[in-house]
Amino acid sequence: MSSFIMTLQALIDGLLIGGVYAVIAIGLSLAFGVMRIVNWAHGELLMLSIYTSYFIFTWFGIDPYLLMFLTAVLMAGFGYILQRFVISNMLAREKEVEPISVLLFTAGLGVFLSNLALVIFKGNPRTATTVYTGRSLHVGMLYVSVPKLISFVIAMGCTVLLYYFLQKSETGRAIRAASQNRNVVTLMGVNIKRLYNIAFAISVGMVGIAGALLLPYSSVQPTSGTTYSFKSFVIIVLGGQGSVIGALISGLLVGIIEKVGTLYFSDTTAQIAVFAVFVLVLLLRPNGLFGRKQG
Amino acid sequence: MLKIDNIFVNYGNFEALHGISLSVEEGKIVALVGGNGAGKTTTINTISGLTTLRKGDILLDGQSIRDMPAHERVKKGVIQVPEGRKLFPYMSVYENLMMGSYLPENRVKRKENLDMCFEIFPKMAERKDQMAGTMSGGEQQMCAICRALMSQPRLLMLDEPSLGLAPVIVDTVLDSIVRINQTGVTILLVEQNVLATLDIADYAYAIEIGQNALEGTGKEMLENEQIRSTYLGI
Repeated sequence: MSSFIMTLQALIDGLLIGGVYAVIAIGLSLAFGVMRIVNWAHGELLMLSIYTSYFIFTWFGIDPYLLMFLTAVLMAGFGYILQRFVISNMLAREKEVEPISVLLFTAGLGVFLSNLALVIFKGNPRTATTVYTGRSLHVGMLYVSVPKLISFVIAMGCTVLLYYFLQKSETGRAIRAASQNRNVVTLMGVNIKRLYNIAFAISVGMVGIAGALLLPYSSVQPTSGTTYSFKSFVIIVLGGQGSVIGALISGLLVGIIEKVGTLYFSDTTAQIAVFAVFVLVLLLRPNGLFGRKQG
Repeated sequence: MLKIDNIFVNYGNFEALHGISLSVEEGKIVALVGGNGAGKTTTINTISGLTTLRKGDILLDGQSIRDMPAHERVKKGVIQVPEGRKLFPYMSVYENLMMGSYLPENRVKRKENLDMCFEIFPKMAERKDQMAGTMSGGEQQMCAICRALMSQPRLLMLDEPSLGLAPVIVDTVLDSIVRINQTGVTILLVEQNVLATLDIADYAYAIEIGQNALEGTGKEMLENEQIRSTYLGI
């Protein structure tokens, strides 16, 4: 195969996986941009969502792209409860802008969830053989994985929907306003606690969607979410906090760097390339590629 | 309309207000003057519900709003233009004004209130699509006042609206406050620009280190020896 075709193939693969990275990262970015909550449990919530999708699929045989709605609602509900009954109380106690107790709590929750999964589901990886698994389209010398393509399209759709929600709806506008000046939104009559509950529910809901999108082509195990969570942090730092467009472009970029990297290095070294770019961007553009200066 | 009765407010162990009382009559412009650290902003924030009371009470139309959360007070028409404008810097002027009319009861009258804002400050119509954070201080202040007007205030509290503005803009801003008052909005004005403020105020309170010092009509205060020497330097 010519190197041109190989590069093109890597670009396509990178783009397809990058779209799903973006959805996961946007969820994380939303919590961070609005509430300044660094959610260290984001990856484990994703793992939870992948397991949920897996069991819904194996028990009820629902198509992963349909059960997506179910996991989205379930995870959003879980996020809402978490924020409403736990994090919100911690925030009320803290006066800091970036509360350390919440950071420690989410880190602890992450460890708890992954260990709980290990106890209940054991460490052995499972796979869901869906009708999409292993299918691919051949276009000339290129091949495109069908589940990755469908997941990519849905991921893009979700990103666009969320973007319009944030830009056009009253609640979305309030969420953006809160990320710019959270003390002042209260003076506009916004119930900030309720707004936080909604924002966190959306954040975890995005992870719910991502779990179903990953199901047809990833292994299901207690550590499934961890790599995604690390990549999400890289993506939101690259993209600038709280920016949907930034997270989208950075997500795609990280996917592409990873896949193109494998042409020249081994799989693991390509992972390092992502972090190398990350360090470079932090050195040269500390606010991220699309970030704005912190006031 | 608004009555503050002997309020005490703490920040941790520091007592910022020790027994401030004042009352604001419907339809009037009431000024609150005092030096730095006197507790003017704390008083306004306490009325808005951003800080909590340790002692005392706040009555709106005779009913205590002491335990009412801040966002509920906005529904009652108690609106604040915060010190330093506090706009949403990465949103356009238009979007800032939309935030001002976030509550459903204010959304219905968006069109009329927007027209009223643009009539008072024609400049805002020109700047409608500009990012709020990129405007001059005076324009930002106008935008902050407009944002508050979009919330359909009954009581409009302005915290140092002339702070850091060029003298000619200060006049525009103070004139607009008089105009807004003439439409029936009650005003509570906190200012360091004492001379200009007392000139437009129906009634004024001077506070010092968290306590009431003096009060009287704007005219009386302007003639008061103590006010003249402390705040006006004459």
